[in-house]
Amino acid sequence: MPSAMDHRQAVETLALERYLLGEMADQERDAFEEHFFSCVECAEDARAAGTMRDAVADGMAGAVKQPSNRVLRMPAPRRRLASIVLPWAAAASLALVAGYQGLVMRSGLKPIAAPIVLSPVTLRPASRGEEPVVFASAGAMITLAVDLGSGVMSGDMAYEIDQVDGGRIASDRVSAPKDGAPLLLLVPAALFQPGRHYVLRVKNSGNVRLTPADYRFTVGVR
Amino acid sequence: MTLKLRSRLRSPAAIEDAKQETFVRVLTSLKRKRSLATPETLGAFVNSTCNNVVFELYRSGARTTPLPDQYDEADNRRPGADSAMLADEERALVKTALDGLPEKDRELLRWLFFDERDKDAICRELNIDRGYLRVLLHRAKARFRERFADQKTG
Repeated sequence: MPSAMDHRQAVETLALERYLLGEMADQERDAFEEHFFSCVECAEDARAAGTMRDAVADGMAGAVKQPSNRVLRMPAPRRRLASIVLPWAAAASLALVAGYQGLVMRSGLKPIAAPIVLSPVTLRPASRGEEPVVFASAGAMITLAVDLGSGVMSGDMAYEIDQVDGGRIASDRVSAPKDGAPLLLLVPAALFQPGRHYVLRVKNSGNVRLTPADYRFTVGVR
Repeated sequence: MTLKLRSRLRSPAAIEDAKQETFVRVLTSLKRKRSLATPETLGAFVNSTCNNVVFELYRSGARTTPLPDQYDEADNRRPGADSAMLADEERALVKTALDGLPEKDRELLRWLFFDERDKDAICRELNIDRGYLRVLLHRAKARFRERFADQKTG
């Protein structure tokens, strides 16, 4: 039996708002429900709130429902194989990137005479776990390994990196990596401000096998 | 009751079934007993009956083969002409009440309940904490309730 909630508690703790936002633990949720089934005032408030929420969810608050364009924050469950393959694919890809840096990017950067160890941070869709913190690696570059899941086979895709409170850092249209491999990005650390929050968005741009998603991360302060 | 069932059942048809079953059980019980010991306990009685119905639905669901996650059977039941007209009128009142809200309120409600955006991301975007997000929702809801009541009373 849940412990009872009284009207004063419900009002003072903004119980209905927390209920609507899904912030209550099961026991508190049960206690609040028990309360609003017995309290006329809270029942009226809950009814109005339910009507409002349903109407907004039906697109009555001015939005046009376009399910195909909506960003999915919970991609479909992936095959376990992808998570096993991912670190190896990331390591192999990083070796290629480091080689590329050594051969092609010499003109813009100081000559590289020895192997570089990069410390990529794997980014996963926003709702999975805590927001990762990334630090600038060797050569003042930030190395991101974006876990796209196992559905992507080939074709193009687009990405955007934005600061959460405004301002685009980078965007491009690139070839999607092979199945199971992450999208690897080396971004100059100078583009980021330490301590700020960023979001990387991948878009399918016609690549129907790619699940659009948000990847959030914070740039750490050393 | 719809608000409660929405947090526990997925499909609109299952919610409607649970609601109907709860009402049937409550009314049958009241008819059999002819009265409630204390009228104030009616809400609690409806709530506990609804809990039982939901548990039974869960149990019966566990005994059958689940449908795929994405499956949502079309609800082919159609309301009568009277109730359809009333529902249309109610929808128009709700729409007018929503349209009368400040744009900031409507944007917040869209983010929360239409786009179903991550609440922490909303907080970051608005530069507020979760406590203040509740306050903003509380204010938007209060304004909606006021406007909706005004619409109803004409």
